[in-house]
Amino acid sequence: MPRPFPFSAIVGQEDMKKALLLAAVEPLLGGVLVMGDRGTGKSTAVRALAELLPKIETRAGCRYNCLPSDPQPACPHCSAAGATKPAMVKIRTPMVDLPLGVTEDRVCGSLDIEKALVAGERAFEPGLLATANRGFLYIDEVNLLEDHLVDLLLDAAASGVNVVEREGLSVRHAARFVLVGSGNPEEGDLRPQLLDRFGLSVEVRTIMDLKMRIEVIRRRDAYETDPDGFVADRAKGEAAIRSSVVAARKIVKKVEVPDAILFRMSQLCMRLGIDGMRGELTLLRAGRAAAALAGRMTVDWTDIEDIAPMVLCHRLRRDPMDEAGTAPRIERALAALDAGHGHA
Amino acid sequence: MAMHEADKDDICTSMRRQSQERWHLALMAARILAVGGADIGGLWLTARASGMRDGFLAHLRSLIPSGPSVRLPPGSTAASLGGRLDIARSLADSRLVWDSGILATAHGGILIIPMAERLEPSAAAVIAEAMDTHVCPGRRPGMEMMGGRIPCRFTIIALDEAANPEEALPTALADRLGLHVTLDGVALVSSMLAAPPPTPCADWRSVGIADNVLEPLGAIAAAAGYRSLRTLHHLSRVARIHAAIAGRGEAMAEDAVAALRLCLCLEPPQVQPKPEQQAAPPPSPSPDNNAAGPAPQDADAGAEQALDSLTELLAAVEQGRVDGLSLASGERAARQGRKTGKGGAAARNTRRGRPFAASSSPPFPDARPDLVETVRAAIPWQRLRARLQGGADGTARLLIRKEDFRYRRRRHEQPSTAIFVVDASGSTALERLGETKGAIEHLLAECYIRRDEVSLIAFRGKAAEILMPPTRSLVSAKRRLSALPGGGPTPLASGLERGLEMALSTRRRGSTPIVVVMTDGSGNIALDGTADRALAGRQTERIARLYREHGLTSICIDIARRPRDSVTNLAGMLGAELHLLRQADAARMSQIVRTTMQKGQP
Repeated sequence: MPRPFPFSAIVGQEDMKKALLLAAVEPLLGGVLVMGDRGTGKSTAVRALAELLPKIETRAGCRYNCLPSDPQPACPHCSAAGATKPAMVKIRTPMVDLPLGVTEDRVCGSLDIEKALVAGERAFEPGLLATANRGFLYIDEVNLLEDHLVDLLLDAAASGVNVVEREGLSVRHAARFVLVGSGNPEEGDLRPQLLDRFGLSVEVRTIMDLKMRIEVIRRRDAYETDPDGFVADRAKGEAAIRSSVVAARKIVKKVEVPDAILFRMSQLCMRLGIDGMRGELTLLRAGRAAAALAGRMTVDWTDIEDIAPMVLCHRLRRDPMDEAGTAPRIERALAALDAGHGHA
Repeated sequence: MAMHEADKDDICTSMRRQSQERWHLALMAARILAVGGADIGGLWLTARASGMRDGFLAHLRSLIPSGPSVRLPPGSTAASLGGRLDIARSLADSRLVWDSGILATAHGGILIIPMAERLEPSAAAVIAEAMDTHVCPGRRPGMEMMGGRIPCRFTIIALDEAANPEEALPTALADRLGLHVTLDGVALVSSMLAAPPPTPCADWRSVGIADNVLEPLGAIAAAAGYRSLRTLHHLSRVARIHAAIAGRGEAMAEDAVAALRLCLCLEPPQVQPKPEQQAAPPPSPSPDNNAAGPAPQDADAGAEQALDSLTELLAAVEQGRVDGLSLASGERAARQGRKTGKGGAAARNTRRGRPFAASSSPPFPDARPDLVETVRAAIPWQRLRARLQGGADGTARLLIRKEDFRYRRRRHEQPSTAIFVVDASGSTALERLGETKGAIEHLLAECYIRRDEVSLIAFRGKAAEILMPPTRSLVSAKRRLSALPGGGPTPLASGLERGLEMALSTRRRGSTPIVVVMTDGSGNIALDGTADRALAGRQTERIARLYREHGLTSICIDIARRPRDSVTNLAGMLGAELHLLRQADAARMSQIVRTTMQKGQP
């Protein structure tokens, strides 16, 4: 299989790249929603990110991506006794594409019925949630996904565990993954409940700058002509991003948030009338991740200003008669906050 | 009289010329596809099933002799594309047997998708994934992790037989196909001309394309409404392949023009082809080759001129003077904007919902068997089967055969579609339309709960117009409703006709239509646009009765200042609920419609 298009070679779409990197640094953020036109490199970016991230350790043949040091009881491979355990291997960060027409059984896993009927065995067939453990779950056209699947995914993403209780099976296994959804808003809206669960939301637009468009075409063409050569050329840039993510992952839990910043974050959310604490909490986590990515140990206000639109945009109460969208409202609130702060 | 004949002749020649040009274009597309293959995704062929289409496909096949040619069976699903368990063989062999999947068998060859406009969006998503990754999407459980990646790289030929604008290729697929050819308007005579034998061509990858060609190409595509970068990517490749076929080492402006014609069906403005016309008498080789002819001789001057032609084309596209825009591609853009990709699937598809029965045939191709029902069906036969197999009577294993499999069938509530048919004539039109717009936005703001859709048809002047096809997106509704025309006479019959058409097509897609007719009087314009009140009345009556015959749920809202008999009569003919609204106000209107939507459920 050819290696995916390198992350560092993606032209423009800075917001999307930043959001994905933040989610890679801090999986607790709760996933990224990318809404926008077709052909803007959404799936390319996600595939590229999975390739770029450091490989994860697991055991050969494990279908639940267990940590070698912490085998799950559900996994017959890793929980095997003593010497029969398979060898440790390093695999690429899993990246699972959830197709639109997928069935519930395929997502959460189920009794392997054919096996049960043909071979008379009762076996659990792990689903895509198991495969996505410790990696990414990418849903293209998330706004067209069937509701019952959406509920399932949200539940697993929020709890980090997939519980299957059906057909005489009782299985629970870890399903910690970064949910990445994409879609075109013209083809249908998302339920607000679903919107709120995504930690970050970015809007991508087709690049309309002619020079940049041409650069995209040239790079894509160079990649397709000689994938290996192109990837090799970009290795340095990729390594730089990888090491910054690895470094950020190490320090992200220790990044400090000064009280003044926390206070202003609350003010911002109150001013925008955001329901619930999820907005503030995500703002805090994303702020930490952003500071960690920049190699700093303290969050400053510019971090927050930078990420506020992607954290808060989709949480604002929608006004059906409002033409302008939500981003300007956040900018206004930020500006007002700055002015107020100046006075105090 | 003689003048008349001459005119006719002119039309004939121009039609013949157009037919021949299209055919040559199709042949050129075939050559480019043969050279480019999977690198340009594939070919979108708009044509009805016919001998001509078969002839074209056979010609295409002769250009790509190697590799398999797989025809996608209709009703293919994600599972059959990626490979699935072969139950019959597994039972016979007593071990799990997987079939390899259609996509894997097409590796290195052509995948033909007949009736591509009917392709399930989920199947299209699987194909698109395979096109992007060149790996067979593993639907086989566990394959992702076992390193069993099956390479899969193929060229797609999507046969689009769409008859009306609501049917369209799934956008995920349409976006990935580089070439778009239409055989509509090609006369059989032109297609019988022998295709020129293919000449060997240099490696197109060594053909460069300069920024001063690529830039206008990108600008033209963007101006024509193709903002996807995939389109530009395809354009640049097709231009390079076109240059390689013509034996050039660098893609020139004429290659770019050809690429625009081949990929986007953009026809250069009619002022241009004067010189081409002289140079291309009918039985000559393709006009593209002809246009390419003079380039090598005086390359510099030619290039200058040709670049001008690109600039002119850009200006023409921006002013909307270009042919293809109004025909194929305008439609294509409109389709792309509209299609939700899910339309029919929601209702036909019984993958979700409450189970209500078991059946011995799968309700959809990759349905899962129902374990309990299957075992129940197999149990009565156990002793007999054990004896037939010659084993002991009490074997531990169940003996199950293919005919025992039972599948769970599910059903779920159908979504509704509210179709507003609004009288936009007369003086109160603007206000009324404004309030209707408000009602639509109210409904849409809540419709995600039930996945309902809303649509708007307005009638005024000579005929009715679909202002908004069924949608559940607030975003697109706002954009489409931003400008609403009003005023003029009342073509009620035409409005009702459009409403009926849309209601029936909505029903075919599996949704329950509700037609909301808002008018304040009788129509005075007949279906053909003439001001004949009597005829219009008869036509209105006939169409209104059709509503009743088809059992459509409808609501009639009288928005005249005083209640009128004509509206009451109309409601009677439609079999509609009648409501009187002196002022059509958005909140009341949306409430009435919502109540009907909820009780209209089966």
